[in-house]
Amino acid sequence: MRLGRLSFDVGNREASVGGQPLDLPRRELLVLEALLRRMGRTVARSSLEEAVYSIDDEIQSNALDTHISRLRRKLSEAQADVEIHSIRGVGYLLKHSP
Amino acid sequence: MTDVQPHSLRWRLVRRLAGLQAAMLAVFALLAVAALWGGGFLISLESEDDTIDALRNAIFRDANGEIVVHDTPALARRRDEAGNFWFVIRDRQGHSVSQGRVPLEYAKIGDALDGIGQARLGWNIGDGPRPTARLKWIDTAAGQVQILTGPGGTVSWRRIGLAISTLFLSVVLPVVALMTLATLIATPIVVRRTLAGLGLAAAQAEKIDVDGRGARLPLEAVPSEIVPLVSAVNDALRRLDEGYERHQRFLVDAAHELRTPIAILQTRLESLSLGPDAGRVLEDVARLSTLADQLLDLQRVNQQVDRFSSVDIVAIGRKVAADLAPLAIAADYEISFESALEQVYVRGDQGSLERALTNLIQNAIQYGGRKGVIAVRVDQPATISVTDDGPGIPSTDRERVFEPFYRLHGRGRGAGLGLNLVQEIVRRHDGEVAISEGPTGGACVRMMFKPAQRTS
Repeated sequence: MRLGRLSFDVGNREASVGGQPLDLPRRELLVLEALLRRMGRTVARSSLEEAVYSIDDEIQSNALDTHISRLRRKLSEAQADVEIHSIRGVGYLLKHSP
Repeated sequence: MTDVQPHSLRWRLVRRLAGLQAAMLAVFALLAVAALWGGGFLISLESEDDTIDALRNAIFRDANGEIVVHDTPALARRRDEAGNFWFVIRDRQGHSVSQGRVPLEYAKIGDALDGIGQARLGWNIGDGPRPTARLKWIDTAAGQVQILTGPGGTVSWRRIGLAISTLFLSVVLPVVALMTLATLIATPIVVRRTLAGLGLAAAQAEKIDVDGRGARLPLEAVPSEIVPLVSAVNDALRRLDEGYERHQRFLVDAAHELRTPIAILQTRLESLSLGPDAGRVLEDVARLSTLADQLLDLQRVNQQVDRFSSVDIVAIGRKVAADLAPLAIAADYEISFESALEQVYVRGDQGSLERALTNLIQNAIQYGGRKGVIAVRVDQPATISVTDDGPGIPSTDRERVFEPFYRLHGRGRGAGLGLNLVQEIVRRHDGEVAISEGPTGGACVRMMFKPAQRTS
């Protein structure tokens, strides 16, 4: 899956920007994958939480926001030309930002 | 229009019935009197009173205390008129005087009736013809005397008039009054009961409006005389329904047919290389396409009332906000959704409500000034609102923007049907739509519904 300069290898679950591998913890990778699968469209907060946490995990209310903001910072630092938009009360949306 | 005073069936009935009763009674009484008089049973008796009146002023006493009868003109007239004129006058001292041929039956009867003030002596109906007589004690110049006399001669008109008046006053008038009173009380009750069914039909007719199809007035409780009117109204309603259905089908078909050539045009234009004007041409075609879609939506909304179920407007708000978020973000807006409650149910059609909210958010995207936040909110009891940070809608235009084909901004992609469709949808859901100003001066459009219990 590719978007901007970002590419994501679903089989090996690896993200890279312009050929340079991006070092991401497992949960951030899961968030990124879920957003990429519906790139350009809204991903509901609840389905992101489902993708990232298994049933046993205890979810802290702002844990997802933390993952998103870290992911945002790393993508921007790597100049991936993608942006994660938050839609308050609904969820998140990943899109190309030229 | 001239003001026509509707006449009251009730009072017309009362007047006519009372009049008829009075006339019939009067005729009947007159006929009865005439028949009795003709048979000689009733009024003929009255002529003796005229004789007694004539005698009253003709009786005196002579020097010996005997009763004498002077031949006054009145008495002479009575004698001339009556075929068989007779009378017997006596007092309690045993003096008596008589004239004419006294019938055998009455020759001595006066002696036995000293204690009787007055009496009519006669026969039973069915007995052979016998003479009748009248006995009466009266005060005269000769003191109190008893007069016994027979019939004969004419009855004075005054007496006939008096007798008839008495009959009318004592019999006909009270009966007429009684019957009129009964009519007065009974008629309004009968009329009201009979026409009660009409009230039902009228109540049903009140509910008929341009959106409801298939309404008919109930015939069950309507009196048979008024059934033709109600049936005719029902037939007219059926014809109107058919006409309306045809009209609706035509509009839906027209809108639908319009979409196909527009879609083909759109595809062909996209495959052409039109150079620098391509964008504007495609925009024009997109506008045409939107217009056709909105026309179709408008017509479809009218046909969806029977598909209403219980729907959650919080879920609808979240879904539509999510669906339109890419568009809003692409146009440099932030979009947010907030709800005071987890779920808010209204009775309605999911598709139509999504359509209405989509239109509101699309409007906000188009006219919201390409900055700030488009906020979708669900509030109690059951309100969905869309607020933007744009220039807002001037208060003078807040009613007119709902009119079909009214466009606040002369240019733009819209056909002026978006808000009209929203209004139609909200009305179909028994709700209201209103425009106000957001906290930053932008437009705030609220759709207010009636909350429903969660049922299905």
